[in-house]
Amino acid sequence: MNAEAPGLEGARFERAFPFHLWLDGALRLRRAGSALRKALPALVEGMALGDAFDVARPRGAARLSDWQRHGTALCTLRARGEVRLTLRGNAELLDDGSLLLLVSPVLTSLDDVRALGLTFNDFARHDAAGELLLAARTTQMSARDSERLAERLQTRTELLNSILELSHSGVLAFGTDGVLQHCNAALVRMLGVRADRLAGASLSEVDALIRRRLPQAARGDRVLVAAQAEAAVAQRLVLSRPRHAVIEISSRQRDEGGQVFYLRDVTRETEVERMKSEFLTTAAHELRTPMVSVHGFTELLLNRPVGEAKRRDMLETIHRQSSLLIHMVNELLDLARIEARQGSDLQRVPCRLDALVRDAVAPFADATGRHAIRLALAPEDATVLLDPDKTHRALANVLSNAIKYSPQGGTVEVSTVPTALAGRPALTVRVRDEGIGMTTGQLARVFERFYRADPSGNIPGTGLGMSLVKEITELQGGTVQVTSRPGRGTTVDLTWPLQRDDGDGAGGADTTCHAALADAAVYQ
Amino acid sequence: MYGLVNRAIEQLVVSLKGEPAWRRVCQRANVQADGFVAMCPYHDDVTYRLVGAVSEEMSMAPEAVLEAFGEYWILYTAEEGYGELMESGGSTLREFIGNLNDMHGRVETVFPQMRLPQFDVQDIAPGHYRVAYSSEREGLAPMVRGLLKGLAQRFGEKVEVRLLHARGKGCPVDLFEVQHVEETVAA
Repeated sequence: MNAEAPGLEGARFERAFPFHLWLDGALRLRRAGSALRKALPALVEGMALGDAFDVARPRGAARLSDWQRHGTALCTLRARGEVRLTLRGNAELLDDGSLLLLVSPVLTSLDDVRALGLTFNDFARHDAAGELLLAARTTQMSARDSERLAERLQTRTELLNSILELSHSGVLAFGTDGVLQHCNAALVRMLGVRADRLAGASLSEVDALIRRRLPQAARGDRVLVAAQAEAAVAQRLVLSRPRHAVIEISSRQRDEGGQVFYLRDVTRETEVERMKSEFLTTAAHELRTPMVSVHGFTELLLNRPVGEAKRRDMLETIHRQSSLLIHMVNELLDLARIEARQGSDLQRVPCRLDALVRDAVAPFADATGRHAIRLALAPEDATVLLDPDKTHRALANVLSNAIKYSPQGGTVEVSTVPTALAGRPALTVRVRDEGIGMTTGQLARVFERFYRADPSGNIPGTGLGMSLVKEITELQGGTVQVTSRPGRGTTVDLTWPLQRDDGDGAGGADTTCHAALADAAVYQ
Repeated sequence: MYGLVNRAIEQLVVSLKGEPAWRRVCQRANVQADGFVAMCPYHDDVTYRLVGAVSEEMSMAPEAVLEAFGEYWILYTAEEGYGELMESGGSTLREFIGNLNDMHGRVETVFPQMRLPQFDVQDIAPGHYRVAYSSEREGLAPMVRGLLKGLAQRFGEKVEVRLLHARGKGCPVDLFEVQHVEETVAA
């Protein structure tokens, strides 16, 4: 292209270069652009360049010859006076010996524009200074937004970490590359593995690690893969290591492609479900037995003529069986009430345990004529915080069992023994019989509801007594211990902590409890 | 839309109803309440969901929310970040609207993915003109009404803004009528 470059005159030149400076050969101002005059109102025609500006480039230029030597290289001027303005651009020596400086202001922020009293309209349309400043302002705003976002995310991450670490359920989070990104403390405990062993593990490695904790027979299928495939349905696993546990695994695909697994330990609720179901079956069975008897005998009485003696015998059976039913229902209701209220309705007061034991023993003293009840009680001033009625019930149940399960008769020894419970002085009520005793298997089930060590049914009872004893004792801060040997008898220890010594003289428990037994008597 | 818009919605809600209200809005809109970055583009759906949730939170019609947002945008958001740009737009509402397309041209260079609307002004009489608004987006006419009212407030002018025609079949633009109101002083 050889076409001559276009020239600009007057208003056109002004629009294109609103910050220009045109100087004569003596470097005096001929004209300044409108925007420059707006920013520097002190500029007037004929003013020496050196009076208005410090010339930074060409350094120290005072004459036109200095500018001639500088040529078309970058020139920089700094305004003198209060207005902070730097101009940059290039110098053109014109044919008439004048100097045209085509410069524009150096601006670092929109605040600079405002400080100079300029607006966007003062810049030439081709000058992108305004847009660059807008971009800079937007970038600054975005940087502040990003910082705020990062702070909020940090806070939320810490919150989520706390939630995850407090959770009793295990969490496994895999990235899109299938590598474990996060697992929580509950998962580490659940699998009994060191956290550093899981770091960087792949999904299949964690899968294999879980499978090694399953019983041998169940190790075939991949568990996490199965949970992924059936994301809508939680999968159940039974771990045999590091401890028996029933785990429910659910999973969710993350939006960006990773996978999160949630492992909930449902061992306890599974056990409760099983026990509830077993309890209902047993309760129905136990209630049905006397009801069948009542139903059968009443039907006989209604439909068949029987003699007076036979009739009386049948009515006695009906009465006995219906009494058993009432007793059983009462015990079930008591048990349910005690459990539901978790001891909130217990009326615990300082009690002398020896007095409670004597009251409980008295009704059994002449019950059978075949049993001797021997008492060996600790001193009278040993007091325990107990609900007298409920404790009486527990002691009576233990004594009743001791007598019932010693069908051949014998001695039932009831003693109080000073001991310690969780580091505190305590007192044990020990009931020892010489009855039929229990095997290890029977002993393990002694607190199960409706469990009876005598499956023959010859020994009357509901199978609920020891459950009640356990609830009543433990809700009052005590413990129950049962030891037994088949054919040799059973010993039941009910232990409660002594009431704390408040300095009122009622305590002194530790010393007095270790004193010689104050009372020894034999009921026969 | 750029984060700038969503952030302005957050600022509007927080300024009127406080931080907890904004959290509820985010919950309703299924949007994380962590915030937005001005220069990041977000899906338009996020903005529409937020407007819907603000409408529920404030028991206002979505149109009223958009109008309030338009006013807020002019008086606070744009002023805070782009006051200098706003100043270059002119010193009266009429002048500003006339320069708006030019100003949007500058904004487009900063936000290359921004799809800005077009405004055309037709004078009827002094202090009385029509503004045709066209945009790729639908349903934002109430926001434009709020923007015009906010601008009038910025320039200390009293105007009535009326939507003459909503865009639809046969009319590709929303047409507003702006008329300056003479203040009468009681004797």
